[in-house]
Amino acid sequence: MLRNSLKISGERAETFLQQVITSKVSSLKSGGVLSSLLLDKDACLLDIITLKREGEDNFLMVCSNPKKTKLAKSWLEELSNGYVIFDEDILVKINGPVVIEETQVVASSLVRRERKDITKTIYKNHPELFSLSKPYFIGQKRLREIISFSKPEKKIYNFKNLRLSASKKEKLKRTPLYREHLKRGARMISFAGWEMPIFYSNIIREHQAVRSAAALFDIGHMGIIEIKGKGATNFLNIITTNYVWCLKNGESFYAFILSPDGEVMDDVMVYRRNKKDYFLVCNSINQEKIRHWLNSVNSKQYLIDENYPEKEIEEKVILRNLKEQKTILALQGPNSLSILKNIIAKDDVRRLKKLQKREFMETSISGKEVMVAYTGYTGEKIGFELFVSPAESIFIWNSILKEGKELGVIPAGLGARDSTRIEAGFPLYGHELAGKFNISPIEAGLGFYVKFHKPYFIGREALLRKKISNKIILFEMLEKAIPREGYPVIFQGKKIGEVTSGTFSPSANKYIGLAYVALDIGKEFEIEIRGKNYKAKII
Amino acid sequence: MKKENLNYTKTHEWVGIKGEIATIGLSDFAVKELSDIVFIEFPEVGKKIKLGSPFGTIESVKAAFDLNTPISGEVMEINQTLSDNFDLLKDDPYEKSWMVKIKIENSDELKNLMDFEQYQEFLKK
Repeated sequence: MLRNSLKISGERAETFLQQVITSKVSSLKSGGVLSSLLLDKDACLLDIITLKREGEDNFLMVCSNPKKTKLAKSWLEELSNGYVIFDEDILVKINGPVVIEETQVVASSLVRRERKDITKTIYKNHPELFSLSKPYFIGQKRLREIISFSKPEKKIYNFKNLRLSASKKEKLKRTPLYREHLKRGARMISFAGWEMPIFYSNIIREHQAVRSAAALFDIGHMGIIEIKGKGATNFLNIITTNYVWCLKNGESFYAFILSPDGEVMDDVMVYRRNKKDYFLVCNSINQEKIRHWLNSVNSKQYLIDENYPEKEIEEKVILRNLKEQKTILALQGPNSLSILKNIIAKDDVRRLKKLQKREFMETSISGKEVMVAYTGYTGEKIGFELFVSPAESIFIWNSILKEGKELGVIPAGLGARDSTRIEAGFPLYGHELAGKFNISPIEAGLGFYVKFHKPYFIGREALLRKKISNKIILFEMLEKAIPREGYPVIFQGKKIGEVTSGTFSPSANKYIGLAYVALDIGKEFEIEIRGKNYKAKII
Repeated sequence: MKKENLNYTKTHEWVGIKGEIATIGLSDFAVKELSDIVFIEFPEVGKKIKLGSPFGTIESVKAAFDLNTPISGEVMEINQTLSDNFDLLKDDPYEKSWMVKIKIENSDELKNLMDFEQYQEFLKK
């Protein structure tokens, strides 16, 4: 006997269904069949359905009541298009789009179950129809109110405790380029547990090289973590605030990693090689914490949602610390493209020229593998970060400085990295994000990278609940004085904020800074410097 | 002023004495350490400053540092040209880039200063 059925296909089909029905779709193998429920937002039953997986991105759905097929189809279509309310939280969107087509299927190939009146009764008899540990499915919130089940005990992640158990006096770490820095006369400082160059000649000269020619930075202190496996995309979609499904192969984006209580644990760059293979770059100071956190979430033994202890990731991934395999150099400035073109493999030059911002490509320099990413932290329109093997990084560092000499490249230290990023208004973790004010991405003006339309990511609800009463601003001094971290911001005679970063801007020949201030600050205000107030204004 | 004839503080200021006037500047070691100097602030003429307290501020791109007075007294003169030309500090730290002149109140305070040789030893530590 032929039955009406719905064919659901597309790269996001599995994730779509995972959020739309109550059972665990991700564990369904090709050719496999499961029964499940289609619920609405109040956990009322639309119908019992049978789902068959035809292929990786291809499913067949049959309603137990044939008359419900049309209703189910329009429900799925509307969810896919995003124009239907399916949750009390109106910001969310089901992961789509998917293609939904009506088709016919031989009924005997599918298991059929009787329809029960209410979801509660069904749960009593068939708890296997409900995968409550899923990060999200429609009706999940209400379901918890109408059914009783034993909530699992999950461990609470606490990095501060982990830290204390580690040895207190660790030696400063060094990047593979440490000796090269000394040879070039760098002044070394301690930064986030690493011994790094602050400058080689002086910060202003290095800053100007970034803006007018090119500068090469050693950023080997940053953390690199690989995320691999079938569940990699969904894992990152739960771990980070950005929408990972919009990344194409060879693209990267900026995102935040939040704790379950909505605090910023780090800001990171996520790179997609393919949907089963990603890596992320995190701040030097946070790398240990982030590695621990990712492993904790992956273990499924740690709480990721304060209100829903049963929630966990859908599928375990393979996590690997890439620090032994890769180190990073940043080549930034208007001449950086020309310099790279001259030294990479001839066959790859055309591809490099076409490379867009946030894209990356594999190439080589003198036969040595290099991954070139069009990205940076200086605010330059043209700039790259190069991922290279630690052993070969010295050769590549010196080649770039030698071959790029005519185009004005010089090595630059963390001093110029800081002054260029302040000029560009970029946040630094601990200053304009998190830190003593616990600054959220929204307050930092970076809400774009938090996709609340995702029905679930760690910290989502907690962040939504947070009150926003302050913001980060970029300002310049109207009088001669340099703003520094911690200086009070005064508006109409009252302290309404604090400077979070400040510097001299060589490009503009001005004193500039970033500050965390009350939302209602005016365009002009004052900065209190050593007991005196100096005029400043928002840029 | 010859650097060999000056006295020095542990915070790298130099002091030259002429009668009851002390001239204060910053040693070339400190100037090099600071690297990019982008801001200098001096006290007003006539202000009384006290031993050990800052009489001014010098800032690089990265950070602000206090300029400490090694002696108490009244500020007689400040070197305004220095605020507009930081390169002077690098080019000529002991002559053209003097910072303030102070009328000495208590010459006993000078005893705590290092002479040139002692300062050189101090830098090696």
